[in-house]
Amino acid sequence: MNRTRMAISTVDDVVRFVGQMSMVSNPLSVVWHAGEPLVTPIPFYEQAFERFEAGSPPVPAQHNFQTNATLLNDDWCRFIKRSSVRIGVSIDGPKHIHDAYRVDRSGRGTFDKVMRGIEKLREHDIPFGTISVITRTALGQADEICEFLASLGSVRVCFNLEEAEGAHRHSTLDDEDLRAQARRFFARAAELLSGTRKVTVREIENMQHHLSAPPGNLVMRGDNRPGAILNVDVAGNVTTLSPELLGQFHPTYGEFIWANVHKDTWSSVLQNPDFLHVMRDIETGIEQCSKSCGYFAVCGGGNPSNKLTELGTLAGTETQQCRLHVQAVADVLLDLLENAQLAARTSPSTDVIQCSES
Amino acid sequence: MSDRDVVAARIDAVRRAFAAGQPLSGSAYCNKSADVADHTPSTGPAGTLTPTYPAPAHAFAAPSHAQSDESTGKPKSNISSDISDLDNCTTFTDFVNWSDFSNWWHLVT
Repeated sequence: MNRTRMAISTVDDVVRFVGQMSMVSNPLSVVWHAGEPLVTPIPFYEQAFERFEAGSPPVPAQHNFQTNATLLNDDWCRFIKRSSVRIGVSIDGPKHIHDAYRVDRSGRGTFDKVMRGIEKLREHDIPFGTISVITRTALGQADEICEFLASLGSVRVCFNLEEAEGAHRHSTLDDEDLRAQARRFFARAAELLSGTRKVTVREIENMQHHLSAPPGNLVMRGDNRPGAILNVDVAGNVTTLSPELLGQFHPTYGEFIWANVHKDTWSSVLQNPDFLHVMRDIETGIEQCSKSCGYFAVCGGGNPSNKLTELGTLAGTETQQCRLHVQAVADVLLDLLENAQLAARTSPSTDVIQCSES
Repeated sequence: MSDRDVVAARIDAVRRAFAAGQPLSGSAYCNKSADVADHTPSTGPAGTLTPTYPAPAHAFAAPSHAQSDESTGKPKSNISSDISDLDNCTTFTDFVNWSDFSNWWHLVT
């Protein structure tokens, strides 16, 4: 096991690296993740957060933890609240669904520990979002999962359809057309969470935004757009685009490490031949997506990491992730919006939308 | 008409209805109406598929420690990855999309 922890000097160089980039958003969204971030003790984050504020120039940051919540205690909650850290909790659903995959090193389900962590968040009045991975089994249990998530008090529910990506080479959702099931799942989420409970569901909300954009607009994705997302590992190695690329090796594309914060700048990335090779193929893939996919206007060309894992190339087009996590959601929302628009033409006071489960 | 064209036409029709200000505000799903204020304009020129370099950095993902390459006896999976303290990667959407990250999807305007 590699227990190497990011050095504070690396944080300093991250701040310098980012500070030298033009057009950095204010605040910059900083997400501590990949492995459990709460394994690293509070003093590290106290120092790290201070470094962002004291940088030259300072980099105003909104820090986020994506956590399994099992280590949350009163000390962590006080720190989270004091530092206004945003919290995302990974929980897949009720106990039997969650514990089917989320286990500790001894194989025991972690649901009870996660719920204790969530209870701590509630005690301290800390808002949190949730992310649930949906496997093939879970795909058929939408009602149970949605009712459970609604009961948690999450401010934002997110569903990750299990996908082959990065180190996770195969998914239980591979090799079969599960789009109809995915449509049914998201239709129920739209009805039970977005509709009945007024809970924000990331997939529904995002797609609604895309579908309500002015005609002719295209979506540009952060994961296929250089610089929209920076990914830095414990040693200061830098990549951009899909974060899952960091740490991978591909015989055609190499290591996906295009700079290091200790010695390089953003310009180093833009001049790196391996990066330019990757971008050429990604742009080829996006162009092919634009020609071949009817959903392109609400997608933006797919996730490079999914393409690489599923198709073996960044220049490819449709993936299972496209079918289940983009197209299925779009289908559901198109049905809902078309019904709503039809109803609006006949009755301007329509308040109810029927969910199609086709 | 191909499946692709049918879908594209449906998307265009829904957008045109929004742009025309059809009264959808009574719906839980349609309360945005024609308001597209959340669509942060990108730096790219209109209609382009090619990003402008350098693009803005909107998010920075920073592992606080190294990812482990030691097998824990479980499949390397984005399902269980965030359970054990130093397991392998979480998914992209795990950490980007949750964080109320309004700039994550961009419309070219």
